[in-house]
Amino acid sequence: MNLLQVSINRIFALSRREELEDDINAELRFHLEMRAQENIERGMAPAEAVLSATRRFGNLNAVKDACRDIRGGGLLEVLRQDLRFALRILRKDRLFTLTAILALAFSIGLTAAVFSVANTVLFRPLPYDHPEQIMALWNRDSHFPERRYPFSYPDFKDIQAASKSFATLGAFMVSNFVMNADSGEASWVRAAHVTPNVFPLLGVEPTLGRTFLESENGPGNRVVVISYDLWQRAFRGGADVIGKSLTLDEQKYEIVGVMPRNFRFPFENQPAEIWTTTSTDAEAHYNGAPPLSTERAAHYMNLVGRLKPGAKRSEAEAELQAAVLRAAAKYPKTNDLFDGANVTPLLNDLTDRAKPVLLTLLAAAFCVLAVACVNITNLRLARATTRQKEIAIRSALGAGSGRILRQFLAESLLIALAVGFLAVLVSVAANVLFVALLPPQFPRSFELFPDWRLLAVGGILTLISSILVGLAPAWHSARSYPAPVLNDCSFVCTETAKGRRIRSLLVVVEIVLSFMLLASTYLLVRNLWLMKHLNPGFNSDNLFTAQLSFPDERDPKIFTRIEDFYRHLRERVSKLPGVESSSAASVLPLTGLAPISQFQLVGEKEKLPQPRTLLSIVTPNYFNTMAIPLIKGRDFTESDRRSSKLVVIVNQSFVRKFLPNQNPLGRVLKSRMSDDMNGPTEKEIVGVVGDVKIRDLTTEGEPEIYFPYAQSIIFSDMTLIARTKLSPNAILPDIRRLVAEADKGVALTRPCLMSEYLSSAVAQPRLDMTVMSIFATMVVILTGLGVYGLMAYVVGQRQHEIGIRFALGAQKGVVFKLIMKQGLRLVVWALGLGIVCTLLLVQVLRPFLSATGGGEFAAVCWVTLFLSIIGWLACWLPARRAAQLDPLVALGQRPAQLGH
Amino acid sequence: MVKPNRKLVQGTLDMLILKALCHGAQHGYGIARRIEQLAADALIVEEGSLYPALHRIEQQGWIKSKWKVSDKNQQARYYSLTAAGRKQLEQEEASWIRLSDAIRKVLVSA
Repeated sequence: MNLLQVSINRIFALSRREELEDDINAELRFHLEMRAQENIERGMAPAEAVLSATRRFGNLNAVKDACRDIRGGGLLEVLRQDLRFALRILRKDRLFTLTAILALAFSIGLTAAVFSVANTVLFRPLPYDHPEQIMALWNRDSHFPERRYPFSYPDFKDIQAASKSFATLGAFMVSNFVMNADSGEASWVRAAHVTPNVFPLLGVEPTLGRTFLESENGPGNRVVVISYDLWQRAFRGGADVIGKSLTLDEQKYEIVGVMPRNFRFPFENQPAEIWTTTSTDAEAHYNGAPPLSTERAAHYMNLVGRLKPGAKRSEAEAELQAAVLRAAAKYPKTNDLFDGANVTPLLNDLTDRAKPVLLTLLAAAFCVLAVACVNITNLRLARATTRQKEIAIRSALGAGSGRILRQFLAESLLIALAVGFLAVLVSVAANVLFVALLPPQFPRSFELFPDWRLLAVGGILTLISSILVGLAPAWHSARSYPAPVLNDCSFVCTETAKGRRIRSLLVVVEIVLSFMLLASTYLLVRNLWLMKHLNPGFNSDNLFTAQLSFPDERDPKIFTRIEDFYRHLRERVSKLPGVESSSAASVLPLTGLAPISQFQLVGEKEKLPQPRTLLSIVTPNYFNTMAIPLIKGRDFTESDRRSSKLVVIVNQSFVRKFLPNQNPLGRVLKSRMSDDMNGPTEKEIVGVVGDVKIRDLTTEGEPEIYFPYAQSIIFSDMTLIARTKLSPNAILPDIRRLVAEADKGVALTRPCLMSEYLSSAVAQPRLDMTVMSIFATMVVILTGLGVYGLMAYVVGQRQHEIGIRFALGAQKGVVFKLIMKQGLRLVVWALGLGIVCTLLLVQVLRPFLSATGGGEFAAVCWVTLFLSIIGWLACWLPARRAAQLDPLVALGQRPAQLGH
Repeated sequence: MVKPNRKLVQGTLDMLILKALCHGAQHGYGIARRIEQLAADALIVEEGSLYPALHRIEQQGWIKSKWKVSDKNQQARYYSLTAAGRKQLEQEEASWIRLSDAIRKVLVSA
């Protein structure tokens, strides 16, 4: 028989143990009967014959064992025994087993989920060819350091010509189209305008048809490539889609290609479904103005490039910076806004702002896992010492230290299996929960669903934790000596001073980690609460909003069309029952999307570089609708038209920054909108309004200029705003009707309440707070258990000593105080250390606590109080039990119950 | 070359079992009787080690076993030599004879 046959036999032997047993018994019994028979034939009496046969055979059981060993399951059989025994032991001490499994499973599950998310967002390569070579290029302005600016088309051409580090350099711009279905229904579709070299740059081939030719980048070309999803949705995946046409913004575009499924460019949460060339902007803009693509002042093109093999990012960046500065010097009127540039790998460009959050959450998750492992190890060590008697007996009966070690490992294995199974469930649930809490602008959230990687991480963590947790007690127990334990010499301490110090140190570590996590949670909760109560500068109750998208028309009559549309619409919407007032604006507060304008105050020395502010274009009644206070002067009215005097309204921060201690009304400023043909025009300040939070809830004091819509129609897409008396959502059908009546070509999208914008503004802090509080809760529970476990163990160890003290006349109170002192000393040390660590930690947390300064002192005080109570409680219970010990039990004269 | 005593005995027992099965299948008790017969009762087989040995050399593939009805109408496990076992027996016999010759030479000369 070869090895395979032997192994198979062994496995069969495992499953048919009874049969094997019978087999061996039968064979040996036969032998004995034959021998007895022979003895009888020789003349012995039957009883003596049997006896003689048995005696001659020797130790029947030993032979049976030997045969069973040879033919039986071998190693597997032993393992099976170990596992069965381990199961029994674990079942006996249910509380410990359950605690261990739950604690480990939850910590591993949470850690795996956070790890998997962090890994996907920060490290998974983008789905393009050699994605590490693809870079994003940006203009920078040191006055607004956190902003990145796109380029103008002429700038792009210059950079492309001068570039040495890039193999390919392409440009793209995101916009939207109003797509008309055959039924005439208008819907809104997101699109990207790309230079034809972008698709080859990304290295992704279309699944049907082709991408753009260089010749198609000129005016008059109306070609599109569509996404897989759009192909399925609008054309049912038919293979004849190439050559068909789509109506976008009331123009026909020919479909030349379809991109593969899961292709996404730009790599944003909201995918573009249509790609077209940049030529569509190379056409006459409104009013016979020169095409945008020749406008050096129109910075709206995002640049993306692929590095030459061997080229370095830093070189490319230096090159770009030189080019930007050259352009600023050569074209000061349009380019002096920029004084720097960035070249960033595309992946980092997308994900860097999520890095601090994810790394911190990961650190916290590992803290929790560490605490759980430490805890379980401590508890197991304690239990191992109480099981000494059992180990000693087994050792005396002949179990080698290898066998005993295997026993403990078998217990660890069982726990690991249970933990692994549960951890998988927890990690999937945690992943789903995490994604649900994510703020909408969180990068790559569309890729965050549970997959095999999550399970793999969970599996590895389970393995590592189980090894760590199982090793220490196994090693410790295998080294114990049976004799003293069996002799019940319980004053022989098998625990060394070093061992006790290590265990105490572990508990201190637990308490310190708890402290830090609790303090972080406190600060994050406070942050969220404060943020929710920050004044956004307007009233967001019952405020309905919706985006209106106009088809881009080249018709010079577009101005009147748009102006009429908005005027009629506002009139009719205001007349709807249930609507208090309505208005429209180019951009909403809290979205951070306000564009920037340069201006110059007339009557002052010309400043270079020109000062900049945020700008917003609004219709009359905007401030009233939003409940933004009008501090001085007047609102825009219907009489502020294109032909009348040009006016603007500024906010208080503007006055504070640029016109301190002066009357702003009547002052004139010069600024240039991209439809001002002849350079900057003069506009008079006619009003001052209160500040609103434009970028996010916490950035204050940003100056802003408001322009009347009628005098600056460059944004045909505006946001309609209406304040309703009661339920804002109820007016949506009416609004749709009115919009369609006013102009059939206009698409209405993204109807939502202003309060939802407010809610997503706090989404990030809410996510941080929720995850942290889950971690903190777990850690506090574990630490409480840890301290309790340690103290209970200490009481067990000192039992004999306590018995002696009682015997010598100590009162219960003395014993109680003794134990308490030992425990509390540990807790106090740990809290002290915790305070120090937390104060250091707070520096790390600062970027998350945007709404607060201070609060650290309060955090430290509250957490110290809370943990002291928990620590005190965890010491009190064992101390009380020690004080109530029966002295005879403590002295070992009367046996206590085994196991506790 | 000093082998521990037990191993020598074990190897010897295996060879004796194989020899005993040379002339036909036999059950465990019968093997013990036959060895004693062949050795003219000069050898007493330690019964405690017979059955483990049988099972061991069955695992090694030199004998195979089958449950049959004995001549006394009882169920017994019968062992028989395999081809590999026969070859093993020849080898062992040859090396045993060589070994005992060598030992005898040494003893006689001394």
